[in-house]
Amino acid sequence: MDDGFDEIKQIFLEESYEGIDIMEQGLLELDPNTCDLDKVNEIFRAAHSIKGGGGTFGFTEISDFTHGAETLLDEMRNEKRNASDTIIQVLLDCVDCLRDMLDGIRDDSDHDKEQAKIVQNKIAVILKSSDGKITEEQTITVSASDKNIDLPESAPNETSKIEPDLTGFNVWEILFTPHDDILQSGNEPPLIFRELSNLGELEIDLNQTNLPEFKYLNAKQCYLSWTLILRSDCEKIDIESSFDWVTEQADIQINLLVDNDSPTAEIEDKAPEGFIDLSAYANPDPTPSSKPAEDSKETKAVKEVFDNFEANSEREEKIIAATKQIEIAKQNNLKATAKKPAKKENSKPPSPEQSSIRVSTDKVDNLMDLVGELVITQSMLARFGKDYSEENLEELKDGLAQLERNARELQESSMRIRMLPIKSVFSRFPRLIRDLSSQLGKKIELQIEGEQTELDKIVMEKIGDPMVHLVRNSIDHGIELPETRISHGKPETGVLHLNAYHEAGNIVIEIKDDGAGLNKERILSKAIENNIVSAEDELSDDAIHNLIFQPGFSTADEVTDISGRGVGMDVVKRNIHDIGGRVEVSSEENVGTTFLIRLPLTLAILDGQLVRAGSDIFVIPLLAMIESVLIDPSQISVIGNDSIVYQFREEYISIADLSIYGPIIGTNVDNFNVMADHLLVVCECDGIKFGIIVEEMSDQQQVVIKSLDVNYKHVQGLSGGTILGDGRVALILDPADFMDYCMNIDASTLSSSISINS
Amino acid sequence: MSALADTTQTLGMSSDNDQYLTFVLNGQEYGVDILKVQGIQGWDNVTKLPNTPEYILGVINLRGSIVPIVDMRKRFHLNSCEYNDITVVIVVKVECNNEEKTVGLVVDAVSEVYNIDESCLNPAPQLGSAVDTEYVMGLATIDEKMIILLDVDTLIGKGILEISEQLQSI
Repeated sequence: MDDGFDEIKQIFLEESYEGIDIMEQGLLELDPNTCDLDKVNEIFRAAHSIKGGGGTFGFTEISDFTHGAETLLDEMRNEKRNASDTIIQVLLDCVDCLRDMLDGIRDDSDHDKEQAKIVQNKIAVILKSSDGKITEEQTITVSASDKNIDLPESAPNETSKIEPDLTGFNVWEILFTPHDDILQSGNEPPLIFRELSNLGELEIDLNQTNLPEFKYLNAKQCYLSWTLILRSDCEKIDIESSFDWVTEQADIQINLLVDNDSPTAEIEDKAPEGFIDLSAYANPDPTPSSKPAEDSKETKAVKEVFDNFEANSEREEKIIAATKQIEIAKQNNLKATAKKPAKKENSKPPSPEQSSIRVSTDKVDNLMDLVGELVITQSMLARFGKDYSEENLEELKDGLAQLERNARELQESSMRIRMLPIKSVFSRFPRLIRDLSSQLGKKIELQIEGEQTELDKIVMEKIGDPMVHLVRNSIDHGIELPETRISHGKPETGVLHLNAYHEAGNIVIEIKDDGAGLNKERILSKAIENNIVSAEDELSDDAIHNLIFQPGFSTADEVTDISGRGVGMDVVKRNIHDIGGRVEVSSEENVGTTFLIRLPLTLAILDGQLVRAGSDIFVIPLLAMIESVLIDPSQISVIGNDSIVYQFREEYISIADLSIYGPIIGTNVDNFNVMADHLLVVCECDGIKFGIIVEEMSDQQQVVIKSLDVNYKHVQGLSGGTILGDGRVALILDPADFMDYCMNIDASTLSSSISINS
Repeated sequence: MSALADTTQTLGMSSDNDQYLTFVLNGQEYGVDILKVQGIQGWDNVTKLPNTPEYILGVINLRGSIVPIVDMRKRFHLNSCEYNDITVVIVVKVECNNEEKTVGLVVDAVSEVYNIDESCLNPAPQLGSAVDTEYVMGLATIDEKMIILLDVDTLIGKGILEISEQLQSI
């Protein structure tokens, strides 16, 4: 049973995450001025399914929360309400909260309830500030019910007893309008009413105006609707849970007519745009900032005003003032809790969710075809197994060639299944940029290109965070404030350009801004200050720019919320390096900065050159190799007792012998003359050339990378192992890491394996 | 693998007791929980790994995955001996730090499968540095022979992988 539910939960989560992605994307694309109805519909549908799913699977928090947003969207799509920046922002907040709630469900942890309340409240206020299409009474009641929910649980219930109410209960009005098809789904309204009557005193008022004449009546269709009045001390959730089964087949509106928990208010009908605008013309409150941020205080603030509440001419002003107080208190609250999610992120255990991908059916069909061919080839070859004769040899060879082709195609095809368009990484940036630009007061336009470029799923998962970091950096440090830009003769709006494309077996991701560029002097002085380089070093511009990837390097004069905490670029570089990629930066002052991330197409297969050192076979990735040369011993020189350099063409490069790698591998080199018939494989990593001495080079082939971490652990200098045709394991060299290793091992280890014969 | 299955069969399956596969190292019998054992195979050449402790002989290809091979003699600081026909690799699947690791253990020979009741185990006394008490589940006596039952999860997790981690960082 439990497992079954987990599976359902998983499906619900997947669908809901997808839904909120659609909502977010739609909201970002929605232009308040034009208000594209198709878009609104799309967003509405996504919200609706999340709510429906939440209700069905018993995640009432989600369905309750989404309800407000759904209502708002519904009004928008029925053109009862126009989109505005405020509404879009609130809906985006709503998306954030939903994501937080879903994370909570996924990890069995708590979501940020405060934030959810704040957002819910905002929506409630927007809903109240309608343009007159909802009757006044309803306006009051809707707001009341939402207020009630929004109040913290600690809201003193005792007060309700003092309230001069008829019953001491809340009075709920429920407008229950079933769709035509409700009866066909086996739901019977009377049963629901019976359940409701268990909650308290229930008055049922039947509305049969839609009932057709008898001869037109379709017995399977429902023409009735009801208005229910429920006197009960129950919560809205309790009522809604009675309708859980019919949320899809009925319009249900639950309003609180008389609320005993907290007095309520109504925003004046003329109020145009939610309460953010409201506060702008509210009476200036003398004390808001001195209000502590705690929730209980906030409640008090509301109460203070409402307790003095009298239905007189002052009332509107008071309401406005109260609304403002709520807003301020909540904003304070928001700031106080703002740190929480960040912490959560760090300590969050790896979520146990199984990852899955959506694969287009084309790819799967293609794979099926190939498997079919493979089976045919197999049966053809099986024939030779039964009766073999010399004459069949040619045919057998053909068969084997075909098998080889099948295998390669099959491999490529299954690799393609893992490849996804990079769009899913890029899609998080519009939101990020929208938020950051408003936070920083910068004007930024985002241009995205190459969204369809496909990338391995694993690479994709790991590239997201480094990219966010780089983009944040570009926005925070790169693009200037509008005034500065104008004074530098640039257009007011900065441009951030994201691009992804293939280049020589790599995927290149480009993050380009037209901002201030890197400040060479500041980087250099900082680097000297931190002892990363010495003052005498002469560095090229590029070398200076790349210093920002050194650990502990941050030139931000002021630590901002967005970047500049001093950890960062080195982590970015390491993360990218971990997935076999490289990052470069180029920059020109006042013109802009470009980050280039080069990633391997896939992590699972690489083109390698097999080399032999001693008795061991290693694989060197072809991408890292520049060329290989026969070693000319006269070009070798020794510096100190542990560094060997080789004069390669016009430059000196450091070289290392593969056979000295580790204490157990290979033969020792007694003198350089022995190396005469050895080969030097020249590799280049991060713009640095170096040579690796090998004894022999054999085939070039595609190898499947198998991680050593799976059963052992990472070994320095290696990126993994692979299995050769004869079943043996060959180790795959990570040239840059290998070179690091060679440069850092004890000099005595080196000199013991290379004794110089002068 | 089939040899193992046969032995199990002749002894008869008993669900009450835990079954242990024993192996011999330098004349002494050691036992490991049979449920952890993936298979037994003959000694074959390994691909040496650089920069690893001496007792990690290297890696082999085990049905497509790369599996490290540990020389138990070297791990327990015993005199090493030549590998011969009866030298075998016991492949165990252990769980350490919530990850499953498959590791091959090179031992002198595989001995028996015993049913050993956990209540009959004697706790291990304080042992030397090579075999930490932590790695020993207990000592069992069968036919007046002492069998050291190893806790392979801890032995491989802490005693092999973690230690080699430390070595590497030095």
